[in-house]
Amino acid sequence: MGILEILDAGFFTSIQDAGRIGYRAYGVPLSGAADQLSYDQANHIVGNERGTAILELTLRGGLYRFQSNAIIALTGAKMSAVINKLEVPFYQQIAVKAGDVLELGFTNRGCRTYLAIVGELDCDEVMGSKSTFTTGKFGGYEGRPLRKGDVIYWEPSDSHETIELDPEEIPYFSSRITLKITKGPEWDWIPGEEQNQLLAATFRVAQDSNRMGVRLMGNPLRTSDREMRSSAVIPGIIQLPPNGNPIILMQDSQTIGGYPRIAKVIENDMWRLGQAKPGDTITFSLTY
Amino acid sequence: MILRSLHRKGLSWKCVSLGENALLMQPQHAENDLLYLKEMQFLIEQTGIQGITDIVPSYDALTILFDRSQLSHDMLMRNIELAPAPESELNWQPKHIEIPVCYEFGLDWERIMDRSGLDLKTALQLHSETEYRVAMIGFLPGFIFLDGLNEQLNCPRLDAPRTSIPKGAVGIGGSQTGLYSMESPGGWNIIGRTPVSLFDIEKDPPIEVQPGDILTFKRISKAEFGDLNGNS
Repeated sequence: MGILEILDAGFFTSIQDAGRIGYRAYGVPLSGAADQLSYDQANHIVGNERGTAILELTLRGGLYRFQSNAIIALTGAKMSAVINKLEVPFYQQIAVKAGDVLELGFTNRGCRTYLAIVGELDCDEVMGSKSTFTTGKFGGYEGRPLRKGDVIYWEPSDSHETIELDPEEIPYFSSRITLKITKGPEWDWIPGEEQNQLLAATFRVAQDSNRMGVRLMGNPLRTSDREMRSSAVIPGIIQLPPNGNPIILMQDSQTIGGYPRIAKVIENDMWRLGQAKPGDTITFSLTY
Repeated sequence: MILRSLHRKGLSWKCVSLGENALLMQPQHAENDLLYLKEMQFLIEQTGIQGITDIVPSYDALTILFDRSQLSHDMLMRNIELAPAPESELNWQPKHIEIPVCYEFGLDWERIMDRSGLDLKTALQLHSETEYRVAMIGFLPGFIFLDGLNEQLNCPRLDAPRTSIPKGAVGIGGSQTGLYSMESPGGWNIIGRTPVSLFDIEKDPPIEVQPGDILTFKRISKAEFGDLNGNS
């Protein structure tokens, strides 16, 4: 078994995979990596099967001591990354020796970094997924983010071929994000000038954004007085609560919501949303 | 975005896109939504349309999630319209579920009494002697929304949600009442707690209660709560 010791879990680090599919009727959210593009790329580079559980690190990485040799890769938001005082690259396989400590600093652009290890993490699989859902306290590492002193074991696999990523496939994480959206079921509930405002305004990502939702501020929109009967929501839905500040639902968001669903971020832009960090700006463009 | 109407067995369904991988279906002019939703869900399940990942019932709609590499809104709607009638009829009977609840664990009875002008005894009776129908499950894992709350007990949500509501809490949010199946943050008025565990991640499905089931509450004391809690 491979052994990884957490000396410092950074700001918020959790085990995630492709998500928990098929249980929404029971109120169970999707979960899984917030930026599925970078997540897939990390697994691809180390030669893991698609959908393998890996670590998602947020804003600040932390300190990780490998007690076994390992092949790893880092993708997503660039953090300073150092092993034995030497900087290590992103988007490449890294051979780590037993005893090495991986030091990960703050992200400059983007919000979430992915750390893949060749092999299968030994952690809680719930309803077909190893993703951590912290509100429900299940999946991943005891259903919670990692903390200092935790030890993760993994079953190494022998796919050690060097897999390179075409440099053109490496995404750029901007702090000025534009998201393509389609109209949601309650789009018509907001007046025309507010619809225009949604498409013209620049919103800022609020501090209290998390894996449940990216909260926007800076341009409150007038909302409708109409009462809505609670109905299904999914990640990418933009809700408009009574205070007028839109919330874009993310991976861990609820399955049912009672706020007007004014729009939906297109699936191809969801990875950009997963990389939105507090202070970044978001603008929307309408597509059909 | 409204796509079009879908017609099946003389009933028209409004179909709305909820993004590239989800379709929202609402029966139009149906008097008994619940049964129509059940029948539609049964039809879709029996037809076994490739690519569907989730069917989520809510008060007045079915939301169908799908893998967009296998299905599109249009293909899904056509598949439903052209599906042959299922070989067997939907044989659905609501389950009748009795949930023991200790109202002494209520935190917000004062608020409800202030609002309603009822005394505690009457308010308790109104809540515990009503037969409820399970409207839907969701928001949080295993959260049960119930229809049928006596109007006198309506009480708006708390201005600031509590950071932690214990597992099994029974609450009132506006005109709805419901059950928290796991510990979580929440903004509903808490009026009691059940020792019964309704959501279990080890089971598949993790919850047996279904929309349409009938639910009643049985008042228990703190001592009985302790006994039942110890045994579960």
